[in-house]
Amino acid sequence: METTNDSGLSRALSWNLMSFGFLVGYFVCTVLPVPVIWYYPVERSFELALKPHGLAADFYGRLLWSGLGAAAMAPVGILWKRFLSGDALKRWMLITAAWCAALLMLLFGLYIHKLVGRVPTPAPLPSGYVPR
Amino acid sequence: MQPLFLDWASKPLLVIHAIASVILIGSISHLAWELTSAWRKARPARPSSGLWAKIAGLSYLVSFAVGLLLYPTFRYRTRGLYLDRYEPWASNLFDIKENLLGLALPLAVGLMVLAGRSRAHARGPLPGVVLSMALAVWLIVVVSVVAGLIVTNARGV
Repeated sequence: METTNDSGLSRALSWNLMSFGFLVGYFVCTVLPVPVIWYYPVERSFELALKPHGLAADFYGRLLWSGLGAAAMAPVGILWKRFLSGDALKRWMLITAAWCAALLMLLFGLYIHKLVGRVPTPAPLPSGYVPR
Repeated sequence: MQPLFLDWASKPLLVIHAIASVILIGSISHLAWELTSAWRKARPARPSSGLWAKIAGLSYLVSFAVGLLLYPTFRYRTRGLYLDRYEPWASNLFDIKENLLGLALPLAVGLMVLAGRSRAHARGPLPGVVLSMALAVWLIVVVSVVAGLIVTNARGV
């Protein structure tokens, strides 16, 4: 029979696996040349592409990739926790939490390294532009 | 050029973003303090920790969602036309903050899901993981709020 403690641990295991999927999605679209959805604020349009053709934002696309990663790992967590209990459940909950922590630290470092010295390209000023 | 998405609402949205951030920093600080105190004294966390976790998670989601709505105006009018040209360090600082908060999203939502469950025991794997999550979210939120204030000081939406 599942105890209250086991129920908390199994929920944490599922959550860790979903978080890991989320972080893997973020990692993949950061380091690999995969197409992401770009949003063009001036044209008010979206495009699935490797590189944008103008001023665009890829944050929404990156979040979408990460959400897909989390969604892909959700059934894994639901199935896996059915086969674990007691010490094994405790051990795997801690192992998956450590995976998430390591990947999170790696991504923090990666983004700080990528962005700290970046030289951004400004958008061309429209004719008659008056800053508000 | 057609108007930017929600450009007309950017000022009120920025105020909502700021209010949600104030609620977030208060609730996550309460939660982190309570969980740290419970861990140090080897006692179960108080029932209010579940409420603080829910408030923190919800305010994180509201602040994040409003930030996403504001982003088109910020990306073109604030960053594209001004920050990238005159204050590139502020553009970079904003993008670091944005990614920190995006990456911490599962932690903040996870606190809502797990904090109530971790109160059954004084110490152990689950309270330890929840305490680590709360401290990580607290640190990220504090760094991001300070970064957001610095960027807004350089140029707001």
